[in-house]
Amino acid sequence: MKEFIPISKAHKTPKRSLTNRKPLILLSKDSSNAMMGDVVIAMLPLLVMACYFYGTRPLMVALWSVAACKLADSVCCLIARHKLMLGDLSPMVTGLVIAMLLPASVPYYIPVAAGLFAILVVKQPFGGTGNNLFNPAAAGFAFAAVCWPQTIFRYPQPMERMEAAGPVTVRLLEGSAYTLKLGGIPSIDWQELLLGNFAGPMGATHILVMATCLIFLLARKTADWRIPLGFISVAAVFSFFFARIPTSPLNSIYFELFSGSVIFTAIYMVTDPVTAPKTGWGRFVYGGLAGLLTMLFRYYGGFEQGGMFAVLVCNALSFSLDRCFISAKESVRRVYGELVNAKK
Amino acid sequence: MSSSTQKNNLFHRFDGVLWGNPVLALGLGVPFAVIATVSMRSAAVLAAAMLCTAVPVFLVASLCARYIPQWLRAVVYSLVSAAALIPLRALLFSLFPAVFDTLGVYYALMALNPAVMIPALSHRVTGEKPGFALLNALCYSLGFALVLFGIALIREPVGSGTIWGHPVEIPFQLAPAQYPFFGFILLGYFAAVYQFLERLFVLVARKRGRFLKNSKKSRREEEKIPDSGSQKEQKKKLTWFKRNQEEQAEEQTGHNDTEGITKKQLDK
Amino acid sequence: MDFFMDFILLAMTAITLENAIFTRALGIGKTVFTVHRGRQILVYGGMVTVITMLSSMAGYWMTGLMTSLGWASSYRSIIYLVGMAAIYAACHFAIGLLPKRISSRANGYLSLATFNCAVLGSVMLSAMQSYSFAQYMGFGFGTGVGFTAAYWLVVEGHKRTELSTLPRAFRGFPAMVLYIGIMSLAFYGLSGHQLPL
Repeated sequence: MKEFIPISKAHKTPKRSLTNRKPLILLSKDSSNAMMGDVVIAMLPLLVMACYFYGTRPLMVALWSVAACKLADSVCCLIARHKLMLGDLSPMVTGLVIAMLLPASVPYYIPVAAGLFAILVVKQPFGGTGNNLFNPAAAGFAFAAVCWPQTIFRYPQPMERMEAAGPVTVRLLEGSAYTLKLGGIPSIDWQELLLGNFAGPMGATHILVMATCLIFLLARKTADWRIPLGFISVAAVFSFFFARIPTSPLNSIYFELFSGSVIFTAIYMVTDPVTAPKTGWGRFVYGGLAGLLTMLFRYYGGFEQGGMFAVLVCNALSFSLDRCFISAKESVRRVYGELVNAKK
Repeated sequence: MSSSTQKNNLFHRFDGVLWGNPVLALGLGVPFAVIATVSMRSAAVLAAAMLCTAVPVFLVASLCARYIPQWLRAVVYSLVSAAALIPLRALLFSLFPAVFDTLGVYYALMALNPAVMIPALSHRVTGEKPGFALLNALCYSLGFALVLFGIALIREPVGSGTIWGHPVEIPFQLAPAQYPFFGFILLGYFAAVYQFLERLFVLVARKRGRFLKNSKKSRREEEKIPDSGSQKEQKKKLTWFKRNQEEQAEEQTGHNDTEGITKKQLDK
Repeated sequence: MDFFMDFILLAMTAITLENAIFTRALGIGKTVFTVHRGRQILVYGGMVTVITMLSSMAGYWMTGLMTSLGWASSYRSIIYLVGMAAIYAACHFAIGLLPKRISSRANGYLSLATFNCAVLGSVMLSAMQSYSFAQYMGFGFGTGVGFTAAYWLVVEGHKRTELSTLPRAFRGFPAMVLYIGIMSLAFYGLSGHQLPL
């Protein structure tokens, strides 16, 4: 049983605040880079699957995105006269996340623009690695979605190979998330949905692969289980009770979660340790809130996908959630201590 | 008043243009800098509106503020500002009729522009002479206009491929440059550059100050002030010495005038 | 029931889709960088909400009057300001009846809360859209609540940036404007199109 601090000693206990806690990302150079390395490893299978479905073009998209992020990060470090850490994997993670959310047919200037926006506007002005308030990849993809919605939300059909160089000549289709937004039921069977064999973001459709990667990240303790659990459970409950398509509630959960980038958001974007809350309950509530906002953005927003916008809004709330839960915990501790004292 | 303080006053007389810019330094007038700077023409209209509201409001603040109760000043200034906008609209509508559709409610909102109201309500303008109040109004308007034109100069060609309504060849176009978020980000970068340049200016000015300090030190050595341990003690002694100088000079001359008298002369 | 539905719908629109700070940049001024405590934010936001609702009521009546008299739209802003000034004076005297400890603090915020771009902007936007009375009230209420919520988010962001080591050039105002810009991008995801000015 936990020992509760009596009121006489409460004032001697150092107050747990966010300033006393070391941010998770800054525990040590090795651990932060190890976490980034785990995320990169967890995204490589998605890149392999994308290359299997679409040819060499996804690899080029990912390379352009990563190169733009790394270059922007390095230039900012030089301007700020910081030590240039070439082994820093955080720009690589940002670049890969942006690339996985894009269609394989996207022109190369779009991932470059998204990567530059992510680093130059969202990451570096707020202090760089470990200090950013918002998820750079979510903001970069949101920027690309706002600037080029016609290009971002049209996808090639899987197994239609595209060359790395030259124009894209394959037929582009609307995604299943767009069909859901119009109130229709996507004509994809459950096997195709799980394997990612349908038109969608090049790295965000392979549900089984992502589930395996999630297990890897949880086992390595790179991702906290509370965040994806809160996210997916709230999103599932919302789609169960507020189905927007004429089908059974279970089918509604199935289509809402597995089409678009909901699962990818839950695993790779919301679990970012820098922008997520640091307290346990805070993470659970944060995940749930992100799930709810994602579904609201998908249902009522101007775009068929809303995960990236929901993540940005939740990033703004993560600090408040931490403060809220820390102060609640301390007041509960204090009250219980008083009660224990009173009983004595 | 010594020449250095005169210089300082002259320099600070033009506060609002670059130094103490109302948008970049004081954070006032952000709505207009962010939303309404989608074209150079709308920036020009807002800059004209700023001038036409700032001049009468600042003059009223300098001349009449002491006759208006504190709580009523915001009312008076906002009504004066709104009244000044009506004839200007009639004039500008004949020149730029389409701009008012772009501006929407933001032209009318210039009546409550914080870049005019906040300085007018502060001690900066209240109690100033009318000439200086007019100079303040002109400086603030110029500073406001500079920022608006700077932002519009980027947003208009990138967003719609035109400058002052004339099409220009741009390598890329981004329609969302006309959206509010782009305006915020551009303003944030402008403010960062401004802060960087301001800090650079202060550093350069401090270095020049060090040069002046050295010349003061050499003067002190001439006057043979004993050099003891800490700077604080030195400052205390100097203050004592100056007071002593003044008192002695008063005794000798019968009035308080110690300019140009050195310790050597007092010793004599 | 229709009144209630219109009120709620416009209130939700004004809080989310047409948020005063994040989508129209209204009300961003010096107070954003000086008022930091939770209670102060609530008091200031509450005053803005009350003043906006009262101004909306007055604005609805004045718009009807001006339309019936055939006055040009260029005179609208000054007429609305006269109405807001009357509301301000009434609130000032009402606050004066409270204990001095409360009235001195409240009066400090009253002029900033009344002569605010968000308040006048809400009234003028409602007039532009030719809303009904319920819609006027709902939009006014939503503007005030949305303004308070957005203001609180901005202050929270400011507190968070104080814990980070920002580059010197971005400390203070530039970081806050970038923060608001990124939130504006997030809120754009709700509307999906440029709002009418």
